[in-house]
Amino acid sequence: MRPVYVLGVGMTKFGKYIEKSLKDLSFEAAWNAIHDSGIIANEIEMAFFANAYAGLITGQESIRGQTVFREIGLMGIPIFNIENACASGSSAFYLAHLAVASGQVDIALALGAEKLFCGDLNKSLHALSTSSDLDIEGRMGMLFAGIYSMRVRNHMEKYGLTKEQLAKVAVKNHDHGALNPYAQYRNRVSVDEVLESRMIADPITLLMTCPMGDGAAAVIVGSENVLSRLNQRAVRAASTVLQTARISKIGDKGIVERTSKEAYDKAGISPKDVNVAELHDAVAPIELLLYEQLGLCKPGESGHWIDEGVTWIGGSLPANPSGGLSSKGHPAGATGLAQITELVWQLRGEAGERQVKPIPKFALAENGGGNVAGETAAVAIHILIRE
Amino acid sequence: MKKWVPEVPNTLGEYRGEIRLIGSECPFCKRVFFPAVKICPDCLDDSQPMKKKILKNNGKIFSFSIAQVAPPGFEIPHVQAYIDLDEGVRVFSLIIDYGDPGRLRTWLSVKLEIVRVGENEEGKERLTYCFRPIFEEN
Repeated sequence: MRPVYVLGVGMTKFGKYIEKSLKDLSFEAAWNAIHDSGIIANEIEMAFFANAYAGLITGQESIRGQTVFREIGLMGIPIFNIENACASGSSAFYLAHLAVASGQVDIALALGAEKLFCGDLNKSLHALSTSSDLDIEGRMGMLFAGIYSMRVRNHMEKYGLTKEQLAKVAVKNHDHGALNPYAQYRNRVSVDEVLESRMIADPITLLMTCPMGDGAAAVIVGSENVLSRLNQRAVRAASTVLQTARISKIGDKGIVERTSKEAYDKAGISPKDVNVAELHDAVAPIELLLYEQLGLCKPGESGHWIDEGVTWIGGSLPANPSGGLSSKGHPAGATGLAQITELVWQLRGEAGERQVKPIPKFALAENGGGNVAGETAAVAIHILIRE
Repeated sequence: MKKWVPEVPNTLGEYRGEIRLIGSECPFCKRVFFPAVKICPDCLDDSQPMKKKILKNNGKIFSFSIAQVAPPGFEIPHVQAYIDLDEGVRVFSLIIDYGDPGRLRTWLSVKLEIVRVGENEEGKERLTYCFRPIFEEN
């Protein structure tokens, strides 16, 4: 396998777009990434389109990518449709990386888009609920907020996390989102506001959950040859790893532990090297569990981390400088690629008001999707290194 | 002919006049699964079939969630739980008959309850599995 570099990134602002279609959002993100990379559009040799729910929202179940790329103007090349629930975007990145690493192509594009606002909230909620095993957990009434609340409850009981510590993650991510022009929510919130907002699934309150959203993000990857002729700062995708749920035994290591170990090993770094991370905070408190599962801190240490400001911009390991899912928003198919986009901006020193300083060298993205047999169905972890 | 169908396919069966949870056991490593699997993912050996395993009716709450929202057709609060069955299997299910939700705790003992959720188009009862907490009386 040969080294793979991120050549260009782009995204739309995340939000509620009544007047824009999935194609409009995709067009904007794809062309932003093309312009950012400096390549000529017809140099793209392969494309992957990530989307989770358009089949249920618009009825376009099949060939979603081809219909979107018709709008973008890129036709003829191999186009693949990628669906892995909320990890669809990172799955597309995984495959674009593989296409270049294998030597099959020199330039590949991963595009992710989602449009969940459709004027019918029940339709959107139904679409989201299909990311579980409908025959089994679905028929038992599984609710994602409930799954997260159970994980958080166990951790609180084991290590003494407080409700205030849970709320602080939402406060931090809203503080970060307030600095991000691409974020869906740009308002700040206080610990009291978070704790007093409507209870969803104890201890998860409304302001700890991520909003429904529309948006798109795109990432172009290429080989060293291509990079060397572009006037682009080198960001290498040092590892892109994806694992799937197992029917785990009680006490087994979880999917994030398993996947991150593989990611660190492949990149040849340790968790201590990571300078900035984008994490899948579908509900904000889960971010605390992720610090530990990713080995960024020791088990039981995450509460102190949030109290001491370690993961705020200005701390020693900022997490979700973009605002994360809780504030930047979570248009499922776009999320994983928006994480990569944010980290590339951070590594290049182009993140504006939310720039992590000193400019980071090692960045980690963690994106999860769906639920099967009690685990997140797919988890992707990518490590990016500025060279 | 049975007068009922399991809401979650291949999960329930009749044993000595009772409706019980039916899992499967690997003939090689003896690991128990619920819901039943057709092949043990640890051994991946199809040379002998998985054995049917009738599970006990008891377990403990590993974790639970009292949700103030619920999917269509489910009551609010919607109390989801992971139950560790005596056989060492963790099952996703719902808690019912809990009274005051403030009394719920992790590691409470629970007992299987077979619950009717409706009828199918052939007029058969649709049955599912939930768990009822056993509160120790003071």
